[in-house]
Amino acid sequence: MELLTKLEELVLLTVLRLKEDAYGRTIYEEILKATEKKMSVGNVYFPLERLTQKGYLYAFKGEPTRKRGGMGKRYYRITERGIEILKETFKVNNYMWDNFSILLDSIDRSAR
Amino acid sequence: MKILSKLSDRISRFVLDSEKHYGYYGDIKEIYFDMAKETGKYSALYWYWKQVIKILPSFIVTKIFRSTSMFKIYIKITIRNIGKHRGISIINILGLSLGMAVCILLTMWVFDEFNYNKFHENHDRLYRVTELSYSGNSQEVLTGTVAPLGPVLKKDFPEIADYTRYQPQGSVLISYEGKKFYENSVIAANNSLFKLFSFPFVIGDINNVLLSPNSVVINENTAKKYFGDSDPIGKIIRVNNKYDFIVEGVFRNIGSNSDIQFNIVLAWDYLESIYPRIQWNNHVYTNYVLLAENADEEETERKIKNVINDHYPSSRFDVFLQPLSDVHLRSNFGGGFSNETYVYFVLIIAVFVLLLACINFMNISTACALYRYKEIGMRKVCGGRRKDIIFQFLNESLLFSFISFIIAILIVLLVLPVFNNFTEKQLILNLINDWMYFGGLLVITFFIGIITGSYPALYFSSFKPLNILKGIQLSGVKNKNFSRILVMFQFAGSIILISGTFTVFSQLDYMMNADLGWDREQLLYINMRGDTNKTYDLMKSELSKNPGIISISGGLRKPSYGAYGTGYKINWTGKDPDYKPSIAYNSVDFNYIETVGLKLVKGRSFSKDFPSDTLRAYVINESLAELIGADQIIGADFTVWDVPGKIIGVVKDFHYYSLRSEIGPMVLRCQYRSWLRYIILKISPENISSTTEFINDTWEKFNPDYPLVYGFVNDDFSIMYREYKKMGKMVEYASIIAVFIACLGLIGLVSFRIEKKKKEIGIRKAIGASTASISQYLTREFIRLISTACAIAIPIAYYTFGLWLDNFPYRTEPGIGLFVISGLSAMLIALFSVSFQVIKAARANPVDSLRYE
Repeated sequence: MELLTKLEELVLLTVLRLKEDAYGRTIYEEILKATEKKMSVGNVYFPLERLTQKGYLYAFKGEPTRKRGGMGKRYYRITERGIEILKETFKVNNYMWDNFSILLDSIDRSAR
Repeated sequence: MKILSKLSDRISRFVLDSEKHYGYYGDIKEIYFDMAKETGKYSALYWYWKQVIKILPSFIVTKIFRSTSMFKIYIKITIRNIGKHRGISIINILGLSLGMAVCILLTMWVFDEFNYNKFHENHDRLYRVTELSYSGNSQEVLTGTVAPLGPVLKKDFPEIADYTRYQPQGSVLISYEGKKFYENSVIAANNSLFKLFSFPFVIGDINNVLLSPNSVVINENTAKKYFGDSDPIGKIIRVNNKYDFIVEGVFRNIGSNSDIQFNIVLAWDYLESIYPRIQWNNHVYTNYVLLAENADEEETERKIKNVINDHYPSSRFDVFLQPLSDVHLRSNFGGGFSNETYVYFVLIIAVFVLLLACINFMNISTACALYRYKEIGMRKVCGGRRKDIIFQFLNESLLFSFISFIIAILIVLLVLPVFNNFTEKQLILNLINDWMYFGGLLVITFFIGIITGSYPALYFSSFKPLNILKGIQLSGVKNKNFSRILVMFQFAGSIILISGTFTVFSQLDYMMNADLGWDREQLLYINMRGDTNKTYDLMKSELSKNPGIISISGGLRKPSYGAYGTGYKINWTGKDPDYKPSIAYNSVDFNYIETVGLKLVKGRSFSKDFPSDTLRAYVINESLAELIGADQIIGADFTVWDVPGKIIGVVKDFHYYSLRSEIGPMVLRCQYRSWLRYIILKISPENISSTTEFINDTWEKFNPDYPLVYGFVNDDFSIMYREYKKMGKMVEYASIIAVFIACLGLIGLVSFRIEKKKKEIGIRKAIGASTASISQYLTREFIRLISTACAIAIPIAYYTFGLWLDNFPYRTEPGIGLFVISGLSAMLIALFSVSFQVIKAARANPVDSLRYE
């Protein structure tokens, strides 16, 4: 199974978290909040599109509104494949981050 | 604000595809609105535009990605099309490659010509010193200057930083341990030669050579010739059997892009030992100066102008400077076209040939594309945008263009050694060194692709697909005329080139075979080097014993180069004392006139019966007689070199130089022995080899130290006009290629027209026309075309080549017939090349073309 890039992983998780509310803007703001990094919308957008292309997300159009200058929202939802890969990623992460705090302690001690 | 909003919309739409754009653009707008409410309009705006700009880099990625996937499809289609029309595609590509190859070769030649002498480090500050001489009311530019000029210029003028001077030594006998050769590329120079000019050394100390009078430096080839692989430094070579020189250094062979050429350099001081060089009236040395870094050229010239006149008041020579960069191309002081003009001419030809090839290519592509109009119609119906069709055509022509380019490079690489041989250059096509040139070529290829593709592209993409599918034929009236004009233009060009070839060769023929005023058949000359002329009398009596030798005489110069510059101190009765004419002279033996075959018109020739002939007799030519204008020319007083004498005879004007020079006034004097440098022999045409053997043996008997050097005057003439032979060949090849390309164009046009007329031909045949009459009908149109081309080309060619011929004081009169023949030959070739297609069409079965009516 393929590994997701960090950003892709974050994006995918955010979509899962936001459920119905997941579209470009909300995903972007959520990731800004989580990483506290000043990225541009494009930075989030391209992974979104890549994930859609790969089939982990599916996208559909929403109703146009005035606010958006006549464009509708593009909503993203997670797919079956998307859920699968998240489970895989979770397994990998779990393995790596297992006993993280204990690892940290052991380093502190030996450095002294 | 609205405008800006629209702009950002456009940008986003442009970069992203429609779906992405839909979401993205909306998102950033939404965020902008909220942000504007919270943090203020301007910071929000700033963020907004940052977002818009940040997506731009991805444009490169996505656009290229998208185009490459389209490329693959187009390439496949293009290859399939080439396969379908293999013959004509190959001819088309070959035509373009040929045109490109020729253009590349010629431009390489042109660049080489412009880059002569540029390899010297100081090249922008180096100047050749030249003199302007005034005599009477004529001016003459001399590139040979006086010896003291260099050092005096350096000493007296701070603007002159340094100087160097040298003199070619003509033919010099070099001996080393049994190896004896006459070297013809020997100069004597002072040691600053290598300081001013950048001729790198292989071994030896470049700063400390040529300081002593017996120092010599040689080039790599000479070192190899005399010393093989052993170290030449310190070895002693003997010059002219008299002087010994020590080899102090070896320099790299000088490349062909240098006007200053030499193999061996003797120290300048060696010349001093022969006789001193402080004279101000012997203008046979070459002086170069290096201008100081901040010196102004014009200012310096102004200052040095009267240097010679100041030191030698009885003459009038102005000194001026010729920049090194002008030496190769602009040394045409004697009038006539400069090399620079010729070079530009070649450049024009190069561009012209390329243009022809491109026009041709365009024509045939368009004709070919006609077959595919159905495909285009289909494509439009299926939603192909006009842009895509244009794109496809462009792609196709770009591909063709690059393939042709690659083939052209291959052709160039193949032909280069022959070309180099022919032009006596050392041109190399190197990807790394000439990357700029190469890059330029690639760019030009690209543009050729675009331009040649745009014509069919624009033309075809504007069709209404409905018309095409219905099968309505294209009228294309505009196209018809345009193509015809193009082909006509090409043929006119070819005709001009063909007549050029004829002109050059006929002039060459004329020069080689013209009556020189003397008899050059079986005329042999022997060069008497060193002091071998002491043996002249003995040689003469010994040689006359051989029946194969008809007549023996001697002269200062050989007959094909039969005069020595300007005589000085000339005077005759009634001559204007201020008038200082340029009179050629030759010192000869008694029977020179008879041996060489000059024609006496008045008086008598030199003769042994009149011993005073050696001191007081002059024979002059008709031009000089006219100049003097005395009623009784025989017996008139005449003085040259301050030696008074009487004119005893007048000879008919004869060519003492090549036919490139006008015959001027000339005087012959009968000076004896020490002035003779050549033995001139008239030999019988039978048993030439045994005669020459006898001559060789006799020479060796009397002059064992000097190898025999002799030549036939006739051979000299072939060498003399070598430059014109080269030129002729070049124009010949150019015209062959031009004709080839023009014929290609014609073939293209013909296929086009025949295709359109297929039904018409079918109907004619069905009614009962014969193959012959149809062929005639088809070709009539083209004959008219080519005749118009002739009508345009012939006057242009006549005028242009007339101008070129005016350069020659002695020339053929080509007559309009020559040009008409060029036109006719073009016509014949054209008819031949289209004959296949015409006959094929005329013989076609009408059933095939009318089947679907």
